[in-house]
Amino acid sequence: MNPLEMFRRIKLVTIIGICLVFVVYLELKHLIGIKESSWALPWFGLVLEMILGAVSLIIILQIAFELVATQMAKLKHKQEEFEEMGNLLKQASGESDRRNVLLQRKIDEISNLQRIIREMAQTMDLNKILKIILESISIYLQYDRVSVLLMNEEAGALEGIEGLGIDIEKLKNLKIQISDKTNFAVTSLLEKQPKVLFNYRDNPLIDFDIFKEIDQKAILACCPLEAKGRVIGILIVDNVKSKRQIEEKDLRALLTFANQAGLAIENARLYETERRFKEKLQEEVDMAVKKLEKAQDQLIQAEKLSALGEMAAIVTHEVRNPLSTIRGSAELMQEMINKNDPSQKYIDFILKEVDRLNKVVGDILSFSHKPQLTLKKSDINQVIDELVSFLELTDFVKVGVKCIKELDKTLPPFDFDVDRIKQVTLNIIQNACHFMVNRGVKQLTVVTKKNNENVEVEISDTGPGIPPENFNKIFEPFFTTRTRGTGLGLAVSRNIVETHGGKLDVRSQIGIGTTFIISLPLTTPSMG
Amino acid sequence: MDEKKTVLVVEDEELLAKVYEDTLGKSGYNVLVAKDGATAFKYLDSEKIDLVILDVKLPDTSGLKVLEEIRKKSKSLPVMMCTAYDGFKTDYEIWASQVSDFAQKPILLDKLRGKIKEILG
Repeated sequence: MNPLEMFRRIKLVTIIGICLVFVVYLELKHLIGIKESSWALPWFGLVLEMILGAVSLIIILQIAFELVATQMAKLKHKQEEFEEMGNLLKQASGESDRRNVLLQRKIDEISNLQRIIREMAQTMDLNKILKIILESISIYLQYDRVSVLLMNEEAGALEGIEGLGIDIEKLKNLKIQISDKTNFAVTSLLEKQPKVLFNYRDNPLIDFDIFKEIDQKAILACCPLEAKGRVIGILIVDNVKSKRQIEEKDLRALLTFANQAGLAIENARLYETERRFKEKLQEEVDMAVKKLEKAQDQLIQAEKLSALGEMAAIVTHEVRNPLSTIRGSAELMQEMINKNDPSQKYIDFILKEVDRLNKVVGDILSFSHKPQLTLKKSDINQVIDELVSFLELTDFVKVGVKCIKELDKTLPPFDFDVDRIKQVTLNIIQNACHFMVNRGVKQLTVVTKKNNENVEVEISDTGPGIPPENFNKIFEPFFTTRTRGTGLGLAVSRNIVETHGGKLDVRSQIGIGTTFIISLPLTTPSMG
Repeated sequence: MDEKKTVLVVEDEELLAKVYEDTLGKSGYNVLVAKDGATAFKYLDSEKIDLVILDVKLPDTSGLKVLEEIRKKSKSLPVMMCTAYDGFKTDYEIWASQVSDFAQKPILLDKLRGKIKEILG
């Protein structure tokens, strides 16, 4: 039974009950003998009293019950309110649980992001950073494939750099021209907005081989990589295998990643540029230092040579005067005595040794001076021919050398100092002859040829070759392995060739032979 | 018979001057030897000289100064420079044009005789 019904019954029973009690009370009062003399009809007075009493009671009771009923209704309303509040509380608690889960997820995301940022901050290696980005996106955002394309400003194109779950070779060949504004990747880049590809059928991006498997909407998205307000590239993610649709709300997380990644990539690139710049600077500094050192060496060498030159000039003068006297006296003696006199032999010794001494001082003098050249347009082949003809009567016969000439007859005449070049060539050939004395095959090959803007004279022998330990020393002044040499021949020769603006080089193979290459410029630089 | 030609040898190296003197004397020339510039000028003023053999380095002056003085007086007197220095021709181009010939020390006597004969005829 509901409380209202119960209340109504209680109300009815109570009214009847109280009325009965009242009637009984009046009856009893009458019976006991209360006088009601004022009334004309005694029973009428009683009845009236009874009726009036009953009505008054009913009204009073009615009011009292109304009051109670109002309170009851209020109470009920409160109860309903409580119930409603209970429900609301229940609902709120559910919502709170759901929010807790979301919050936890956000916390996870942030801590992942923090971890990734930390990892990225630990390295300046672009490849490592790219690897971290790709793996993070793949693991935490769960995309099937991730590609990073960076801007090549010069080429005006986005170029595939690195990817995950994708054919790297194909990706690295991928170039998207920025001018193609219909391309989905370019649109995202220019608008600086992450986007999901809905209209997959008509987009030029899908024409590229690696994206051709995109066969339904919303499984590919692009996100620009920004750094310091500038777009440096683009991130392309897709779910080509799982076909899981990418929703707009997923892009927010992707963008958070992309922003961090863009910054890290840019920093790495700046670092790399700076590193390269530093390296280049260091290289230039090293080179400058080397040049300075070389210049210093040359200066020291020049000073040494200048001092040596002065000394050589004095020595030469002082030596050549007495040599003149000795030679002149010996010659006079030779003229005065009989041709068959045994003394003739010793006079010959004197003359030969005087000439040798004279050559030594001459070598020293020419080594210590920059040779003065008398340049004249001449035929190098003619110089070689004359020299070889002379040697065929002297040194070649003495040693038993076979000489082969391979002269390029088309060589044009050019400016050189005939006497000096003859001196150089003679020096090299005489050296070659000397070193072939004890060899089985004694062959000398003289080649003339044109090499770009130079004329080359190659002189090859079949001598024993230059031992490696001596190879770098042969042009040093006073270095010699010969008992009767000044060690100035090759130094002077190189000096002469270099004064011509040319080069004197050597190749040698132990047991096979040595080749000297005199290289002279066809057009001589102006002499200083 | 022609009069003997006179050669003035300006050379401070005493022994070398003697060698020149003997050699040229044997070849039939009159030889005067001056061991310095001052003596050379004295001979040039007092004697009739046909050829001068001139050393570049002298104790009191340089052979080039002597050459300068000779050229002031005579443009045609043959002068033969004898020097131990082999860069003369290129380094002293101006002087080189004013001399008849060069001889580089050590001098070969035959060559010297040949050159003198060529100059004096």
